[in-house]
Amino acid sequence: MTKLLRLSDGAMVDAPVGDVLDIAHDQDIMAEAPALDGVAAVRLIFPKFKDGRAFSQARVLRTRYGFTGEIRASGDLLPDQAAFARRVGIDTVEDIKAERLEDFHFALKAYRFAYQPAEHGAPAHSLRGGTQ
Amino acid sequence: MYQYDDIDKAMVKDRVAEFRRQVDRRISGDITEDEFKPMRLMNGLYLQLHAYMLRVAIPYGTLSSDQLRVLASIARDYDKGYGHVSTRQNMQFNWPKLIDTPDILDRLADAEMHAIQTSGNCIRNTTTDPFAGAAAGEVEDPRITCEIIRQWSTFHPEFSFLPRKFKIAVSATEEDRAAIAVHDIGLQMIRNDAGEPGFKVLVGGGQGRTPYIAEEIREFLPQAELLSYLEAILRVYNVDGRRDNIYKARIKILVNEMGVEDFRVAVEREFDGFRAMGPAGSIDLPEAERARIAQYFEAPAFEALPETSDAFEKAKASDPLFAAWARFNLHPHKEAGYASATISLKPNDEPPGDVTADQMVALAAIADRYGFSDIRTTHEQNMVLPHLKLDDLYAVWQALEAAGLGSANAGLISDIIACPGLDYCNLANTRSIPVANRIQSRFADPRRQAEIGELKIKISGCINACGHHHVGHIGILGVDKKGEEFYQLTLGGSADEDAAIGEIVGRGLSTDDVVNAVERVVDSYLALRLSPDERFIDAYRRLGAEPFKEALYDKAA
Repeated sequence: MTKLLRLSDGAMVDAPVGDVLDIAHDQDIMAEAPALDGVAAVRLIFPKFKDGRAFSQARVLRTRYGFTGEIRASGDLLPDQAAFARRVGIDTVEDIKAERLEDFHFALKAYRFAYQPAEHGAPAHSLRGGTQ
Repeated sequence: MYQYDDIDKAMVKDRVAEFRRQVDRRISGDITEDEFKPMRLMNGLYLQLHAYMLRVAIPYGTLSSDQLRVLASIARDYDKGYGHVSTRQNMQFNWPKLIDTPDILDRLADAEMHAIQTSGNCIRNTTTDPFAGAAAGEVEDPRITCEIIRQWSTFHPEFSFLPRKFKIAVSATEEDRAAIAVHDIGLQMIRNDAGEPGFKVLVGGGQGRTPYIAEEIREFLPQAELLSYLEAILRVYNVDGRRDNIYKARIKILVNEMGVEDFRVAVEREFDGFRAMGPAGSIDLPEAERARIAQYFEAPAFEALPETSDAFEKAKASDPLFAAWARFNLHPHKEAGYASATISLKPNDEPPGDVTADQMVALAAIADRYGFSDIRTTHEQNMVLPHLKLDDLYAVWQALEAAGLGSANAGLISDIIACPGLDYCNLANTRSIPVANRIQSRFADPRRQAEIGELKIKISGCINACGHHHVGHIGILGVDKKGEEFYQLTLGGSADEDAAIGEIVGRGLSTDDVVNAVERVVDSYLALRLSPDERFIDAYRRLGAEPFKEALYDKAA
């Protein structure tokens, strides 16, 4: 059974049963909507950690297409990118090396605040007095 | 200036804790240099030729005197007693030890400073007019927009792994002192016909090996929608920008390959998407938060003063050295009886942009006594005291002189931008600093410099163009030919509101001949100009490159 790191709480969980729609890292889903009808889970690819296209794909899936299913990250996602991944709406990461787990856990709680509105966490300005 | 609240403080402190852990893992061998590299780069830590280099962010070039003293303490405790002002208005330290860098960042964090995103393929320090808040004719203080962009771009979850680095500049006046046309995004604050504030948006400018002047992508963007429009541009770039070739990965290449019209269509499509999300889903800043940030940039308590100052006029009449400094290093202030002063970091025979710890401490004291504790860095590698009373200028200049900061050469031929070059940088092909120093020596006579007038020389030690040679009135590019240093001249570049890329003239010049060549160009300008009021760049625009090329070749032959 494939194990996934769940970014919301850092737990290792079993992958849900069912098909996963792969979206290639170079697929422009802004210009052309992917077929999301009946899709429960989407897999986004980080071919190299430096390739940040999947961060935009996740945001577009959530905000443009209102996708509420699981977004899974695959490939070369560094622990230090985990909080970014969660904030753009990625739920899970697959193929985590056991020795990296502690680093992922640290990274997920390294920052108490964030400036931007995103899928998770209130932006700093909404926490500042009188600006809600 | 902006003051951190608890959230801002937590942000930089959390960053230090994270980086400390990363450095520990690197030193213990838990992670490789390859894995560590992107982490240190996101914290402004480069590995240079001889040592690590730490680039500290000076957001939009604004410093308090206390912050400048902290930079001085870092120079003293962790470097060789000096710092270096960069062309992004940041300060670089060339000799820190890796193991010390978390402590340096901690000290910066205590002073509400950081090194976040001063390198790496992310949104870098937003730059602006060093006379912000002091210059006449501003729509508003551009630093309000810069601080909004700083917060929005800090640890942006979607845009921290872009195809390449990304630089934004903001200007709030018709005169452009922020070089917005050679930035990935240039924002010019304007008002529309209804008098509402907003921005003209330029995109796709840049220097490097393929220089471009930015193109206008939007005639008027309402101020309130700035962040959603920036997100739209960044998203199109993040998704469509080239990642196959590092030299074609900047947004200028994407804009050029798509064409600005198609690029605009793609951006507007994303922008419409943000607008459709309505106020609840908007990523734009609420007006109350904008107002909260803006209040930190309210003007200091200026006194009501007469337009002129007898003390200032008398001092100029009695002290010719002061008169020369006042002639070249002062900029008009929007308030009567005040001026802004450029503190030249270009004395002869020193690396352009270097400032010692003692000088930083002296400048901080001068700013406390005479200048509302407000200090700026400039993209031309100088510093500025933005708010000085005319009555105080003579005392200010004497204190600057005593600290070795009184060079009267702002905007003159010896006020040279130069990259660190082969003396520090592992990308460079040639040295830059010694060429700058040799030009300074050749034109050391202040009367000759004054006669030549405004002339901007910019030197890059390789094609990456960190010394901005493309936009120098005279640009000098170092190239390596079979292990020998050569220098290529460009003429007619400019980074202001009439931005232009300089034209390459002639063949590469040897190290020995490059200063002679500059002198021949300058001499031909002096012979060709209509009057002393016609600057070099004006004469070049009137005459083109030909007469200067001829002068070069005739006498070189």
